Amino acid sequence: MIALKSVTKHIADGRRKIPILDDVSLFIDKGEFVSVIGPSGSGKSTLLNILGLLDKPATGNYIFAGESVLGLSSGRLAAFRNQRIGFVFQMFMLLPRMNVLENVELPLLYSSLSRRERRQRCKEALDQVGMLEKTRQRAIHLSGGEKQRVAIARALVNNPELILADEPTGNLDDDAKHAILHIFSQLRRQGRTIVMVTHDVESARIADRCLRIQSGRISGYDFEANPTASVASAASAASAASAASAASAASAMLQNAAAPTDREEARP
Amino acid sequence: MRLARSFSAALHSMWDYKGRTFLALIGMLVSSLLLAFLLALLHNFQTSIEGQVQGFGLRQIVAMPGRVLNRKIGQFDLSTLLSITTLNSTLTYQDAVNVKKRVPGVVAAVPQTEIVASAHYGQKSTEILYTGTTPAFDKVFRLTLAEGRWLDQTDLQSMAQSIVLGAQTKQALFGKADAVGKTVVIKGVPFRVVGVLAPKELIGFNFDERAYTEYPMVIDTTNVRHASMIFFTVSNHAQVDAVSGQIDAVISSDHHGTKDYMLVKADEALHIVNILMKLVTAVTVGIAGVSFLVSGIGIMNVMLLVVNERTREIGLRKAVGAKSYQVLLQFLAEALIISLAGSGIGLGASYGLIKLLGYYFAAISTQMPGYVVEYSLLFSILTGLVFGLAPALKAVRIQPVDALRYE
Repeated sequence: MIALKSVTKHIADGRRKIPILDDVSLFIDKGEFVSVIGPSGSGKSTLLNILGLLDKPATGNYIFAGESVLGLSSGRLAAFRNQRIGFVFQMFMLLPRMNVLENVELPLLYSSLSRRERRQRCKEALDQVGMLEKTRQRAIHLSGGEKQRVAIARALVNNPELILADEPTGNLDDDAKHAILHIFSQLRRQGRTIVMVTHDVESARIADRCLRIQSGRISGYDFEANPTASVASAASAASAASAASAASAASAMLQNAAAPTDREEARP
Repeated sequence: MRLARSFSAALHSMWDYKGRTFLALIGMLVSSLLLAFLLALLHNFQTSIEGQVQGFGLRQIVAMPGRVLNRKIGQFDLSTLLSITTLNSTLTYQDAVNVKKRVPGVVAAVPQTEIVASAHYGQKSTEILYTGTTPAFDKVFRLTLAEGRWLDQTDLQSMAQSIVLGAQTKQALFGKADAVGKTVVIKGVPFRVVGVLAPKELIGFNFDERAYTEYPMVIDTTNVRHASMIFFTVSNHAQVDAVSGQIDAVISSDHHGTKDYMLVKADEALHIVNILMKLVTAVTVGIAGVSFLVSGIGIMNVMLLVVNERTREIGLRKAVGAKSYQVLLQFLAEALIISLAGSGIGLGASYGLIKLLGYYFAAISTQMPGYVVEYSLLFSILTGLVFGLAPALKAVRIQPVDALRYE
């Protein structure tokens, strides 16, 4: 589904370049739930921003569903984010003066759906996260857990192929955290492709597989993160493979991306 | 996002920041009020003058004391107006009589002389313009009587000491009581009131604070010897230019060639009014332009602050799919709505002011011409778009990844 190949990213500090991501290769299959853990400053959020097309790497390539996306125009990137990616942020990022429904509707405002269709989709998304009763409540009056549920509903409302979550339980108490993790478990069972960045091992355990990132490098897979992942898909089999084999898979995707005609023919 | 959604999002945001929106709106309101009110006032003033001059009659020629220094042939314009030199009048009653006698195209020649004097009735007295004229005066100005009659030939020939009071003079001396038949004293001379004029408004003229009697009576009872003006009525509008030349020849001959008077035709007066109005309108539009500039800067400042405050929101909108042009449209729409709302309220307020002015000054019409509304809206749209562009571009340049980290 998505593949990163030899991605690097750095920030400039005067003349010095500080690496944030260092030759990162990654392959995530459709329907896979991957958690990324690592300490603060390890490059987790930057990785997520690149996966979410909010940021661009200095070098490397990024294939999303067979399409090389780094060369897309800003307008096409915006459309891509709108239709194919859902974001869940640590700080919820709700617009406080808007009500729950309006917050969830935000991505749909940039689609061609009618008001009626938009409202219908919002209600479905809110129903999924158990917030249908609070559609008219202003976001500022919600608890942290409720805000994060609304944020998840907003990420789901466009039915995206990929959901990216940045520390979704980072600002929550235990009860709220478990409620949010329960929602992510449900999304996993629905077969959603999810990448969740966290530094909380308990949160990371609900994923099919867990990646550890340190000093900008994916240093290896944490097999103990989710020992019960026996229902793993073909992709989760890949999770048992080494980092090198992930890079091979990414390379294969990149080659496919370079031959779109073949890929189209290969589709059922 | 369709255009309607940009405006909807803009309205939503404006409501969220209503305090700042209101502040930005006030500047535009004042500018629009200033422009619309002054332009409408000028328009109404011009319309009223034109209407009154046309009502006074395009067949009228007025002889006035004064000299035009550099008048070009057949031309009476602003430079002519500015070159008028005021002189003591040398116009006489006899000038009017001679013109009437020697110029066939003149159907009426009415001199007027005046001096400030006190009028007394019993214990009451008031300052008036003690005015001498001839019986044709009421026809020239289409005067209406509230009581009694106007001066007639008998009054003039017999020096009957008859007097017609202006509306305010009557009010000051008699209040609500009838004045006709009563006696008022001016310059120690008792006059019998034969009529009272209905109130009359004509820009540049004062009828209400006068008392009119026979021209020779004013000459006999004061030290005034000359006419302040002579009004000539020409039989046919098409002959006004030709007749004006003939009048000039007669008066000039009687004054032994001394040009110490000027003849002003009604259409020349209108021409001068038009020139003056254009000048004042240009100055007004200039002042309003500066005002719009200032309010535009106000809008820009408020919008820049709002963009700063909403950096995270803008980043979020971009992260979930807003394209650059959609962000641009949203902020331009906000600036445009502020401008148009301010302008709309300003227009409404100026309309109210014009109506209020009409209530106190009946001589001025109270229209809000279409072009004033168009100018005001055009100015506000341009201001909104031009000064909304910088904040909108600033919003466009915000990178979502930076904005989402923005504290």
